Amino acid sequence: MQKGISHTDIVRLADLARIELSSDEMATLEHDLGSILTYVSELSSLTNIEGIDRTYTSNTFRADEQPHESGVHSAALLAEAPKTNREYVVVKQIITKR
Amino acid sequence: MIIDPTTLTAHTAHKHLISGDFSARELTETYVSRARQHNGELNVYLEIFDDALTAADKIDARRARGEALGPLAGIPIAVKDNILIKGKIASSASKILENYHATYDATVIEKLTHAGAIIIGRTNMDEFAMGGSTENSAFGPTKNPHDTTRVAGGSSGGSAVAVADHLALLAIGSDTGGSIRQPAAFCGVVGMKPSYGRVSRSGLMAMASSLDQIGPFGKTVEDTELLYRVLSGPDARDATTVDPTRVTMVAPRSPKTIGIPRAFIEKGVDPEIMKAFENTVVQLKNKGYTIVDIALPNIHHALAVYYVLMPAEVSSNLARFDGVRYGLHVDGEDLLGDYVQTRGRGFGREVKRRIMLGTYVLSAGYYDAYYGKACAIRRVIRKDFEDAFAHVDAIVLPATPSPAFALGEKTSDPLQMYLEDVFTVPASIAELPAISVPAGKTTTGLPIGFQIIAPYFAENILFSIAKDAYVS
Repeated sequence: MQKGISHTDIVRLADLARIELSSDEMATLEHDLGSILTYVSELSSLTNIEGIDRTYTSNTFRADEQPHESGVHSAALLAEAPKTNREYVVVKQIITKR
Repeated sequence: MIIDPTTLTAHTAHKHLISGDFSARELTETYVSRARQHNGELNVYLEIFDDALTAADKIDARRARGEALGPLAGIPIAVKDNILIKGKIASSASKILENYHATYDATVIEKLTHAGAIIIGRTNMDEFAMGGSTENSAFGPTKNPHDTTRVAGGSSGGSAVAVADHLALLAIGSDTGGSIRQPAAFCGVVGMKPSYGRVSRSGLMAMASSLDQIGPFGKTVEDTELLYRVLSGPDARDATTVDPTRVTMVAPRSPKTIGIPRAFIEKGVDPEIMKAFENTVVQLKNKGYTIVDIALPNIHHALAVYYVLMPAEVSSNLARFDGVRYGLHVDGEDLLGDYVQTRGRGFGREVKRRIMLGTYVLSAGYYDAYYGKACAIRRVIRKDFEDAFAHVDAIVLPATPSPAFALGEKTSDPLQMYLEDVFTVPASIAELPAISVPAGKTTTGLPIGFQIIAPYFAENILFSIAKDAYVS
């Protein structure tokens, strides 16, 4: 059974994934995602997994101590940012005035 | 003496360097010049480092002063382009990071430098390690040195060819679902994925964090093991690394029994691959191993599990590329416009496909059916392996279902490309160490890989059997 992925699905996913896609790319993805999801859908028929703990991983934390000296990495990191102003990374305004 | 890169290994070069038969500078010059000559045709290196000779000079000077040197002192090595080397470009073969300079060294780079290795360049790969042919590189595919109309495999294709074509003595790559073992098989070299938690990923660009491992390539099992020993060990900067003294292991013994999951390989394998596989099994039998059939009841679901979990993790990990803090920036109307245009322009086709797929399987309404289920089946597969290892010391499989395919053959059908991973993905899902060793060639001269999988943290068993399995 071919898993149905619609054009609307692709538009919604691209929006969630923050990726601009051309109409050609959308058409190809509609087809590709459909066939890949059909393949992985074999998993949904498996029933021998009731009661299995899915969250077997655990967090490992280090102590929050011994920070490096403030500012020692700033210049190197800022040098890689596309837009900077003094010691800041520049982004566009996201809150507009009424 | 005249240096012949085609016959040297890291071990023999090490001996020559110690006896003074040649210097680290002479050795490095030989490899750098050969790499420059061959790179136009094979597209192995995205960059060959001009300062490699300076590093070699330092090793020579230290040797002349009688200083104690590391096990890789003066040995030229190639590094996959998704591993950070401070001050060098690290692009992951992507347009989005084309001009990104690493601001720190990956832990494995610190270890290599400490061991005295000479890093001679960064190697081509599938963009962000997504692919099995190196055709997804934004900078063109790497060609297979055994037949330049065929792929090198991937995603660590450049690193595999660097060793296979004698353009470095050793190389490192990363393996998420087979990205070291499969190109090693296609190119006729040894490639190994350590147990999950053996090698620090600090400074490796994350693709699928529950699967990614850095690992070694070498011409021989001995060389590969030497490099593995340098790379491995717990690291405070990667909380997923494991202190080996805290792993419960079976008592060390010499491996005797090898299992084959016959039901898993009876269909869909190229006859020449199958013949080479059986020949290697016979060779192991002749060396005193007992070979038994085993059942891994859920192993045939491993690939589907992988193609749910991996894209889910990809979609999360690659959210960091937003055009704000590093890499490409494309200006849009507003901040959201910056994001979507930067990512739309910067990512290649396969990367977009996997981000979209991951977004789908993690989205509301589908999470349980795909991601939740895949996590549960992953546990079942891991348990199947544990049960099998109660009876056998290692499990063997072909590394790939077919030899290196033609350039362009599978690029239009992503599912066909994904099926290439069928034999490498199970060990990744189960977090187990696995190695591909050369097992002869097809009648047309294409290399074939034989894969060995050992219990968790039993890399010693892996290398021990690999030495007996290797067919030169």
